[in-house]
Amino acid sequence: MAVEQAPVVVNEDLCTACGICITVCPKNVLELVEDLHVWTGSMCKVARPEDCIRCKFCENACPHFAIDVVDMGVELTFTDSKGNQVTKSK
Amino acid sequence: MSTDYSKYLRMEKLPLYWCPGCGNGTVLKAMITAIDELGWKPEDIMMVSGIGCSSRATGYVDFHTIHTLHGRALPVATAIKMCHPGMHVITFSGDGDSTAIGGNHFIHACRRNIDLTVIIVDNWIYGMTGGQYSPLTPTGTKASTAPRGNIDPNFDIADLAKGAGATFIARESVAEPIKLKNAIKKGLQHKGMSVIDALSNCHIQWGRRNKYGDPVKLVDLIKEKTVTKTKAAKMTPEELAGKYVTGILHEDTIKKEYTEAYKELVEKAQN
Ligand code: SF4
Ligand code: SF4
Repeated sequence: MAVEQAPVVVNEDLCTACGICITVCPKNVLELVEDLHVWTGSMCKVARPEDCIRCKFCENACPHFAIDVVDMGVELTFTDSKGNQVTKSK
Repeated sequence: MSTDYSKYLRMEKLPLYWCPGCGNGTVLKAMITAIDELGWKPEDIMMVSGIGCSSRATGYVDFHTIHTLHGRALPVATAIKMCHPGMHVITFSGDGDSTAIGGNHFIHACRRNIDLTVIIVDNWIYGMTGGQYSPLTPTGTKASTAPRGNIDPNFDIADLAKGAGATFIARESVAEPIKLKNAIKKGLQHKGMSVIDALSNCHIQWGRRNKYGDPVKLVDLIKEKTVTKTKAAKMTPEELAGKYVTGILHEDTIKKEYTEAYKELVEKAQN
């Protein structure tokens, strides 16, 4: 049974847009996007969730407890960057 | 199941007050993950801190916590451990807090080999008080009290702790959070004084004065400056100058732990 959830989620209330997760991600999943509604002026967004290999580098490196990555081995369905519904088990 | 941080954090206190990208959060997270892996209950853990940016960590974790005076985390922690030998006592403090202001407490806690886990967030500066240089500010770099560069040589926390008598010493950096977590985990399990020197980035107070104002750049610099123990064994002293050797640097399981020695003394006196 696939769980309906993206493999990596950024908690925007906690993220400070420091960019550390973006540099450690080996698959270029995350991106800093300008967002003038938050005090930092930009926000970390999950740009390409379908590329995530759930290595958890970003979760371990994020200093602000803002990223959660689902464990490997859980089947997930989510909308990818092109708007398609995909199912991934890894 | 991945770590559920909300079990160990006072979620209503978040977001963290630290600057964007500050390594304190990474060290705190490594500690929480290590505790989660060990399966320790929050009510069995006592966390003590002094004053400083990193010492604010006690406000965020949902253990028994106490925020003490500048540099005085270790005397308080020692007292708590003596009264509650069954409790896991952790201190969390900065480099200035533990080696300068509380330097004397640090060497004596090491000497007694009391079962504490001392996590030193070594970010090379007094961050909270305005960027004054600490005994760990690398020689030649700038700080608010050393605008032309710091001429003081540094402490080596590992050698200092070893000389003073600590029985577990490790050094890791925020550039490698998994290794840092493993070192903290080993330190938590060790019976006796364990010192973990966690190299961390202060890109605001140290970095901005030294052209490393970006957290990513400073974490890269830290990564460049660290060498593992095995690699360091093959390097010449010249090559090692200015580098930080990481890994488990010292482990001694023979020296008696202080609360046990005290218990024996009490038993002897009562019989
Ligand atoms: S590391 Fe954490 S705080 Fe920094 S940008 Fe990524 S999610 Fe945000
Ligand atoms: S888990 Fe790995 S691949 Fe996925 S976003 Fe994080 S760093 Fe990138």
